[in-house]
Amino acid sequence: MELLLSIEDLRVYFYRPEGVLKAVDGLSYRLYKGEVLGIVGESGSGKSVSVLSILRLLPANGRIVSGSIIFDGKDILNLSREELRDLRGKDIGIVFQDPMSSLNPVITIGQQVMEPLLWHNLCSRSEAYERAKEMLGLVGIPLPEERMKEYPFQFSGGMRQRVMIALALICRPKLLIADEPTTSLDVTIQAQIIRLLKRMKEEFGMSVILITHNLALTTNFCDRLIIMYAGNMMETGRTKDILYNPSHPYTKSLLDAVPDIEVDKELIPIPGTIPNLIDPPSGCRFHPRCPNTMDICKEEAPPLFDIDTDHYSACWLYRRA
Amino acid sequence: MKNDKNKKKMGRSYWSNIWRKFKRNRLAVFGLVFVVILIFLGIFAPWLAPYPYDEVHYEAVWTPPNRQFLAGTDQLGRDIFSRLLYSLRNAIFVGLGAQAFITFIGLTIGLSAGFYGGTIDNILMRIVDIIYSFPSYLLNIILVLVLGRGYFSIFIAISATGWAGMARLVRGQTLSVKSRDFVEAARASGASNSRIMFRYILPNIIGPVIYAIFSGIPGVMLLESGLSLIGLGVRPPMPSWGLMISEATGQFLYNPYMLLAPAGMLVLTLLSFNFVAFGLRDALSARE
Amino acid sequence: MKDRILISVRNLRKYFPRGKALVHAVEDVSFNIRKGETLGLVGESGCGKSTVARLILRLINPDGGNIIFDGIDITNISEKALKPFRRRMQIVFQDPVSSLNPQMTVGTIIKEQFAIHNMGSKQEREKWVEELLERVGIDPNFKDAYPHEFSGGQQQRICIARAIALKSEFIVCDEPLSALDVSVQAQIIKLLEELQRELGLTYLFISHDLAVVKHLSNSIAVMYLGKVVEYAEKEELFGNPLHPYTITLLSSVPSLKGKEADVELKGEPPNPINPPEGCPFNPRCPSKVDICEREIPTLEEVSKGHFVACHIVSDRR
Repeated sequence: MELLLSIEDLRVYFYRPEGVLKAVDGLSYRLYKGEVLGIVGESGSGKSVSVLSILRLLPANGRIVSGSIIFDGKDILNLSREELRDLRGKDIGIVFQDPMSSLNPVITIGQQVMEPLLWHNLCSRSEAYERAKEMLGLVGIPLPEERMKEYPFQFSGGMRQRVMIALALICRPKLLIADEPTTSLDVTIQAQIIRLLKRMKEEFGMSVILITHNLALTTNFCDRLIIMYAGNMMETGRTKDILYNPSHPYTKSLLDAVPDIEVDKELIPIPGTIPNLIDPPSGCRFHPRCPNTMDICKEEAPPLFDIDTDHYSACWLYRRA
Repeated sequence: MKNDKNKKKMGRSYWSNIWRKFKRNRLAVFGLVFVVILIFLGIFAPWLAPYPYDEVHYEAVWTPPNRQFLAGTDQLGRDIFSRLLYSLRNAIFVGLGAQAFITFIGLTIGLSAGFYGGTIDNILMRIVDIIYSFPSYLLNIILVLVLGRGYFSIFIAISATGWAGMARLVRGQTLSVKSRDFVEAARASGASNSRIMFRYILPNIIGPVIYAIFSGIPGVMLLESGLSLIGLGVRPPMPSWGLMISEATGQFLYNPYMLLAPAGMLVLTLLSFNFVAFGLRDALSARE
Repeated sequence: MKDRILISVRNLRKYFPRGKALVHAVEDVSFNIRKGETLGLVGESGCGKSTVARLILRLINPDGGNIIFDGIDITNISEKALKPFRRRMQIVFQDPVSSLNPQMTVGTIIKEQFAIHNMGSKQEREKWVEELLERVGIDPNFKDAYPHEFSGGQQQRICIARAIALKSEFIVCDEPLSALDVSVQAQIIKLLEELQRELGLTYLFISHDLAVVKHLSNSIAVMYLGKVVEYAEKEELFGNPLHPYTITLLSSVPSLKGKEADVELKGEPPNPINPPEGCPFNPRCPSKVDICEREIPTLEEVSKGHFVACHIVSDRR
């Protein structure tokens, strides 16, 4: 498989008045062409920050302290403003959690979907119009030609998210980033949007990164998963391996703590709370809540250990003596 | 409670947090120091001033600042430094007094309108709209003309128009706090209206109100000076910065100190209050 | 004792004026909750489930119908007459940050409950606060801390302590987990289960998360556009869902089992200002027939304890 994105030892810190918040602390992963990668974590796990760094879209107090991001052969951290702009929207499309605040309320939907094409000078205005119409139809907006004249407030939440997907895909990007795309939507609409993302993936063959806190959402969509906790990768591997054969205590605890509609089981809560990343726990960041804590966990952060083919776990339990 | 070692820091209230953030803003702290000094100077002006404000020194008219007259004298030989202190005293009494009155009326009306809503809200807010629809400066002038010149009239004139803005602010804040779940929870537990108003709503709107009080004081002082400048303020020989500025304008080329001293004091006072207000605003809005 | 009905809601209605139009927020909702049990109220956003909660607690007044608490009709009694009932029912909200007064210490927040109902001496109240905090898993030494000093999960525990402070029998949980992280949600679910067992609490558990509702409830009511469309015991509803909306809703929930939804629900919930003629679900219904566009189906008991509001299901019988 051809490599599309490779991230090595990424560290993203936020400089706050109270101290330095280590949002992502030494993250490495790869994404291949045509692959769907799920990044799963709770709030503060760094799942969104790690991906926004690919577009260099960080708030003013956030900085990429070290690491490298190579996308399609280009070193993202050394790109000029123009090259970066070329990348955003054209090679990488992004869909955020809240479609309302991602759309400009005073510009028609049609205009907004056409804009990326015009900004990147990819085609003429009339062609852009045709392509926008076609794309809105593809994402399941009925009567696209009429609805292009309307404004975001005339669309429901689910329809707006469809528009966002059309907008992200209009330039045929090589990578689509979906950052909690269904979190603000109802279950039935969530199912529609995930289905749509899958269909679009089949249609255009791009790579997808799905960021979510909901493990169940990844089952039928993602090829591979990364489980993140407190700025670190805990476990990575093929979706089926992670869900049915988890190795890391955090992944296991998470699966035990979440009720599932198909399974009746006793829930086992994870004790404690998510750590404060200004002053994170020493060693493995999960050790204060872990059921299997050993002495070494408190002292040294574990590297990734090999579990199986393409399955790695950052846990001292798997150290080979 | 995130970590056990943070135990000592627990129990830090909303207000101590705001104070902590306020202290980080150096300009605001400077402003606050100046405000305290100014208020002190104003209150004790009769004891601090070297001369009575109306004492005439014919032998020393238009004396530039020197050891005897720290800020010089005016066209009647009155000591400008003493007159500045008395002006400060008057400005502070009008500023704080009118603002206290405005706050009291504004809080009462805004809180009732926001809390009870419905007809009460409608009636009270239409009154506010009516006051708002007049140019307030004009209304001030008319009131002073009707009531006669003097600090008391200025106080009444400023208060009569100023409360409307405060009432609007308080109503808006009340509405937003009223919709928070902790108010709903208190109602679900059977808390009485007065309990909800005074223990749940009032403490949660007081921050923005204090900001409004501080940012409003310079406006009130400026209004007092403005009225005095056009001859509608205090009755001479009672001093006021506005009056002093108006007396000095003709002399600017020959005796610039006469203008610079009151204008400087006015600016210093207004800036001090404004810096405190800005510091408060930032401390209130900063989230942690 | 076991089958005693604590809460009974009969034909509850609530309309909100929106401009000149009326939003039919709650339309003819009826259900019972037995003492010591949990009724799960599920539905998508805007279906009126939170309005039902506020109606039962008389935080807003209904436009029709009855709320019967422990055999007494509390629909129209005065605020004064309601006060003893307020002691017996409480609410836990979705957003713990917004539900705790930021100006009060945690101890004071709980003590407010005793102050409102004039219970206990100063020392007693202090002791009760400590017991309550202990019970919900908060170190009582932190009773003088302010809400913002706690994490979301701990804040929700404090809300629960407040809700059980008056030894209330009935607690409305309005999406109590939605604002919490996944790893913390299970802690709160456990706590709610334990408290129910120990104190014999009755819950109305409102949520859009069907997996959680399935885990916690004894019976479930599914709402769509202000109406209850299906209402049954949990096993019956999940094992034998009858209403087309329930069927699609259940199959929309992602599962770790990885089953693929067989039915995709087309379209989105209609506007409650202008609900469709006939059955509210008919524009999205995969199995609709002519009558669905004309007549509003009523909630009928199709088998013992299983109620469905659907023409097709009624006809099939």
